[in-house]
Amino acid sequence: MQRVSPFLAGLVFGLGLCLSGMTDPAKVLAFLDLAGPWDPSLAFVMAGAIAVAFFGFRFSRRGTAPVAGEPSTIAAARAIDGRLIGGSILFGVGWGLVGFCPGPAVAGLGFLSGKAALFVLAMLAGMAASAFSGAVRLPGAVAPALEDG
Amino acid sequence: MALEPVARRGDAAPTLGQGGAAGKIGRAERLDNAIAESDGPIAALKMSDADNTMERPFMTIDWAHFTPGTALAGGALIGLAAALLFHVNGRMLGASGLLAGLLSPVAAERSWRATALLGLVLAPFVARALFATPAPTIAAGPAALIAGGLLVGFGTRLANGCTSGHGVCGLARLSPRSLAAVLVFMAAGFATVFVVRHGV
Repeated sequence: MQRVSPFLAGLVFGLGLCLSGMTDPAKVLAFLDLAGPWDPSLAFVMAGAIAVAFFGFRFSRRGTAPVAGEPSTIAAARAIDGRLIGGSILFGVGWGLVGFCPGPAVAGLGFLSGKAALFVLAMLAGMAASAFSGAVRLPGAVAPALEDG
Repeated sequence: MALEPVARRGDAAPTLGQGGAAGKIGRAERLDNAIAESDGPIAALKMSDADNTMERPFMTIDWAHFTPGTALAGGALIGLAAALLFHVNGRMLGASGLLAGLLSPVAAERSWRATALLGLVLAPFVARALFATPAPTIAAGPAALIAGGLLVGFGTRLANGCTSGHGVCGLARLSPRSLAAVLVFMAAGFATVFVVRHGV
């Protein structure tokens, strides 16, 4: 289960993105365009996901979570600092330019979209640049990652 | 008016967008003719009608494209995936973290993330077998795709999470840090789309 679970999680995650329409940048941009004809669907996707994850996480913590696998990497409480804010601004601008955030962009590969592939390559380059610039450590590069997601 | 959302969203073929524009020009010409032919008061009435159709309130919900049911159901699946990965592997489901993990020099960090990403890439194939799944409509050109990808890649590493990591998992954990990240990237997203689509 421990080996199969990440695959299943990725698959179910992707199915959720497809079902909710979030794999379509046009629909995401229709949410981000408050001044245009506004499609609130993205907010409902997040509400549904947060509600289920909220109870799922509580259920897991009730026992000696996690049931199997490596120790949990739930992020320790950390400061709301310039990196978090600055990084989120850069991410938001890129998101607004195209309508892709990382999950739907990777799922876009499954639609055999060349544009999604170009975006994913650029994303990987941006991630590599952040690692080389010393701005952040990649998960597992030096210390065990304290991961938000 | 009915064509406008389609044209704005850029998800239709260019011909549809042009059709919308042509339709508007046609209507304007008809209005001009009507004004020229009609007497004063009627002309004034037509003018005010035209003004009403041109000015749109700042927020109008696009009921034609709003899909609350599948949005909630799809969202629930995303939450389920996050709960599964945490319950079994003790990991947070974050797409940017999964992708960045591929660049890790540690094999164990790469492998489970690669399997998760494989599931994510295969999902559209499964989805199309199960329910109607339209192909993504990507209006952005190569330059915007590269710039956007670089910004999203660099930014999500700096912030240590994206829409799934901070937006879903972080908020589900009631993390103040994630709430700050979500508020900031949402605001940046709204602002960017406003500038790109409506200019300043």
